[in-house]
Amino acid sequence: MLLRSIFLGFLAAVACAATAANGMRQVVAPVDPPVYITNQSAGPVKVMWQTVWPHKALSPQREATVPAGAADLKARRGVIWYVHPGSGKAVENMLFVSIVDANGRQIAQKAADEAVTGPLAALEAKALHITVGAGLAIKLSTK
Amino acid sequence: MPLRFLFGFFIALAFATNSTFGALQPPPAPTDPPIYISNQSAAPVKVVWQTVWPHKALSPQREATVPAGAADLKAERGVFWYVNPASGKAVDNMVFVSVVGTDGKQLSQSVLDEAIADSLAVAEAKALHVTVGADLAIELSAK
Repeated sequence: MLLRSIFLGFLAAVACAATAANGMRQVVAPVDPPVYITNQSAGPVKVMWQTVWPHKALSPQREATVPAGAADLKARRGVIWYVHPGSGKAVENMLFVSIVDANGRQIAQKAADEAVTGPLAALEAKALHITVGAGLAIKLSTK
Repeated sequence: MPLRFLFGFFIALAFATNSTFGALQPPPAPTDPPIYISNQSAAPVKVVWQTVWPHKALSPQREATVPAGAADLKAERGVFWYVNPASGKAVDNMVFVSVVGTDGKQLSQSVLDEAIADSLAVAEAKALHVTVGADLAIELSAK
């Protein structure tokens, strides 16, 4: 009886220690932040976004067509967020958001500044919010 | 006699004015360097290229579908080359060239290194040459 208790206690201690060690080793990698789009213009707009890892990589284009008047519509796919494979931390991601016409021509573009990319990298912001104004100007924010 | 003199005077004035204003015009801006693509793989490939002006702009995507075995095929449109509007000189252009699948997924990517970008910027090299290898690896050179 005593031996069985000691054995079970030993097993429980090993299990707890293994779980704790595993948890400590894990690093939470920044995931692709979701994109929410608001369209204050008079017609539907096609919005495109791409991320650049300077001198390393350029992400594929991601896009969404947003009807006029839509507010905080969640895009199917978020911002591609490059992460350093060694450290698991976000690299210096450069983010560009464009509006394109039916022929794929850029009508407007906005490069995200540090006030947008910083909070996304630090996981302080949960999502990227894109607002297309009446004049098709693009405003970026995070929350 | 005075009429002939006036006629000659105005013709000389016209030439002088034209050459003066010609000299005052800014130097020609670097133009988009052409692209030549070779495909050493077993199947046709879709090659796409884009240029980044760091923290400022991302060019539209340009593309060409190149049949297997093609050598130095000239693409319809060259490398998008950003020029500083103030100085008329090329900015720090980052050029990314990718091979994409039919579903738009990137199969391989290469970024133009600084030496090649510099030679294109000063127009020492006249064109960008893209070679897609048998394994879809992309090699870039300028000549």
